[in-house]
Amino acid sequence: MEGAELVADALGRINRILHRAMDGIPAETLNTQPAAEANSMSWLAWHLCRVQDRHISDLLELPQLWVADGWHAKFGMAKDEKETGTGHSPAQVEALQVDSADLPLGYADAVYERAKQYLATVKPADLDAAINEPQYDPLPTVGVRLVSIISDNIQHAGQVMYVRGLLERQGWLGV
Amino acid sequence: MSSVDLYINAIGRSDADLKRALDELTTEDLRKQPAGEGSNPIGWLVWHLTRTRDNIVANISGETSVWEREGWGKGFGMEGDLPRFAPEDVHLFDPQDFETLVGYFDAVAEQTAKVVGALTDADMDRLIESNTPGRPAQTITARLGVILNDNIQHIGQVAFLRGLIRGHGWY
Repeated sequence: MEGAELVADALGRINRILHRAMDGIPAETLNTQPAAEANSMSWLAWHLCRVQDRHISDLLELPQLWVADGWHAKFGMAKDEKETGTGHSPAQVEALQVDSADLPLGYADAVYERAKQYLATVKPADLDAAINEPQYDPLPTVGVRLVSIISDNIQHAGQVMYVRGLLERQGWLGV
Repeated sequence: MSSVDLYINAIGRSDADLKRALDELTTEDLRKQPAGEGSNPIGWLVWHLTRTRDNIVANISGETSVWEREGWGKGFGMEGDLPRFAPEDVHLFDPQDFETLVGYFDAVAEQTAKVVGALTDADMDRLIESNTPGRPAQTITARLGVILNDNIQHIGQVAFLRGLIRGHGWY
């Protein structure tokens, strides 16, 4: 398995985890913060998609789906490519509410679909190409960037599963 | 960047996140169940992800696990067959102290770097017999996929728990 296939495989697993954790789950549960200031499933899923969308779009040198396909409007948020959730205040975390699992899962499917199409074009040698981000020394490569996406996204997917598990045990699901 | 490099990078990067998530926690924090009864504490999660990785790496290298070879069972007071932890039992797991828990993790991380670092891309499709009787043989890619996907999810959970224990941050 080549490097790009491995990344596509990991992103596919992340997409399946999100579906398994969130499909058909009431919005109220998805928006529940398991503790004061803790991230909800809605916020975590949204944030990991934002990270994926932003980095894959940068690699493609295309506008993010967030703005190009109007996902920001569906989430009721500003048309701002820089808004990924990193550094959010507790109030901002709390403000992220969805009406249905279809919204975060729809965005997750859209960003994964585009990542898959992109990764199908990435050859092993492309992974060593430097990304023009002079704020970093040495410059990151495409491979390093893909690694950071999967490391970030797998961790957040694990958090979604953890929150789902703990809400379920407390009987907030299926009632 | 080869597939092998990609695995090493992804695991290394996530391991650095794990270390950051453990920074300045107390031994008591390792045992807390902030998510409620039956939920996995940080200590158990770190031990579990390390045990999983140790077994997979031993499976790939054909050597005995670091757990067995270096006698970590004694340090954890868990000699002989390991218990299976049901949700109601996870609070019984004793992480001992940072020296033991992180010591075992570091030993396994070092062994992982050695074994995975010696692989070539051509090894990736090689089938290896499972070290659990009755399980089918799997490719090295599939075995490393478990470290990548399962282990890193648990690392994310440790970071989330740190947030529950220590309050708001980037977790």
